[in-house]
Amino acid sequence: MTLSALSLDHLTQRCAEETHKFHHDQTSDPQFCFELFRRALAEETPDALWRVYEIYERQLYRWVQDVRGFDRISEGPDYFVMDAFSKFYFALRGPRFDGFSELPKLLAYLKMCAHTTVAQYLRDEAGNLGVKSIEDDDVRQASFDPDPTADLMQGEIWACLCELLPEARDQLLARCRFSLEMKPAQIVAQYPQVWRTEREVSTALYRIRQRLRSDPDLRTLLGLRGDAPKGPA
Amino acid sequence: MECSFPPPLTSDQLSAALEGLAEPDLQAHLARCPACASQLKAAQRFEQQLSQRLYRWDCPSLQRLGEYHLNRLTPDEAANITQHLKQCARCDEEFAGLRAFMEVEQRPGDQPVERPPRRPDRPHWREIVARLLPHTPTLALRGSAPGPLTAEAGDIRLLLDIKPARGGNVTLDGTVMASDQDQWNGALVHLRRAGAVLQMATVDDLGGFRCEAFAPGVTDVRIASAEGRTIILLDAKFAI
Repeated sequence: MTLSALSLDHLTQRCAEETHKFHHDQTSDPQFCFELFRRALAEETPDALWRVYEIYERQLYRWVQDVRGFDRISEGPDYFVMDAFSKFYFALRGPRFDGFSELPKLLAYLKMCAHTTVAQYLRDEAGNLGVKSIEDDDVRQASFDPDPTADLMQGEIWACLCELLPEARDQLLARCRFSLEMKPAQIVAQYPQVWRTEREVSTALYRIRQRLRSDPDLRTLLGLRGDAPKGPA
Repeated sequence: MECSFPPPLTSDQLSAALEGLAEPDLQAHLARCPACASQLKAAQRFEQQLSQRLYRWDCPSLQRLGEYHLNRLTPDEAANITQHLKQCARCDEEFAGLRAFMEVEQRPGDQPVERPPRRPDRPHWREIVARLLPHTPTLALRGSAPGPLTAEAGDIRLLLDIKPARGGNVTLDGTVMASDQDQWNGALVHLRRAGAVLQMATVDDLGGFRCEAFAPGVTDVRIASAEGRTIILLDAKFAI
């Protein structure tokens, strides 16, 4: 009997058995699991997708909890396991499955999704800056914006900043400080040929900040009302 | 407002305070002078807004870095990532972490872990919580069903119609209605009970989905869109 003729129940059972063998250091046959993945992703059969999840759920829990930095997250793994599986599904469903010809490559992609869901969360949390200490979930949710139009706004802000800072050296410094959140010491370590001391970085930053803060267009783009600060600053 | 203890802060001093490098005399000045403290607060707000809006704005997502690692990008896309990694210390560090994680091979004999024997007490803050609306009173007809359950999450509405199925089970016919309907086309639906996934389904191009023949009971519904938005409805009572 060919694989494609096997019932979903039979296929699921064989995949579960072969996975069990793999985890118990026995020779295993990957073709049943690959066929189950194919039905779940290439044919987009929800029932097959659920069977895949059932078989690999515990592996996903392990991977998610093994990601460096996961222990810094004060929440359990459930959200990340579901999110990793959703990302995996959306990335490989339909014709996108065609690029995968063997089980180890599919599992490598699933493992990668487990890593990236946690690592992306850690990156986003670091970017929340002042918001990250806020307990109110509604406020935190407002700061988490998967809306792709947010990218356009960021591009506009960056273009405005580049107009105010035409020199490449100033743009590099602004990128290091405001986009990558690097401290002066880190900037010197990364670009010793551009800035030799922290003091040099700090002096350049003073000048840049002054120019940016006084620009009304940039203030408007940042949603800051009122006139630019007056006085010595 | 004028500085209470002139001279007021210079630009250098303000920047030092922003970097957290204020000398003790500067800190003392800021503690006593409302005008200078307010000036610092405004500068901090500006700095925070700028950093928050620009944070990693042109960095590839972690998923993109992962696809780069697995050689899943086109040559042009891969060349862009290679170039970016040369210039971006943060991405380079994250990529090193990803590579190290992926290089730990899954060996035969490695045991997966058990799912924690619990259900989430509350949704993750990134999930949009849907709330059930009370049933609107309808004309009571003998044998008529009470109509579908309705839940709302912002401008998204879920209709959940429970119908009897064989063997005392129920079937769920659901509909997602949203102003950005296209975003929910193909979304992945999970039905969960006590933390375990009961069934999965996908949302069709009209917003509909179906979960066939499952035991009635209190169930969570989670719907994830390809764009990364997730709606969760907790503790829906699916029964006839």
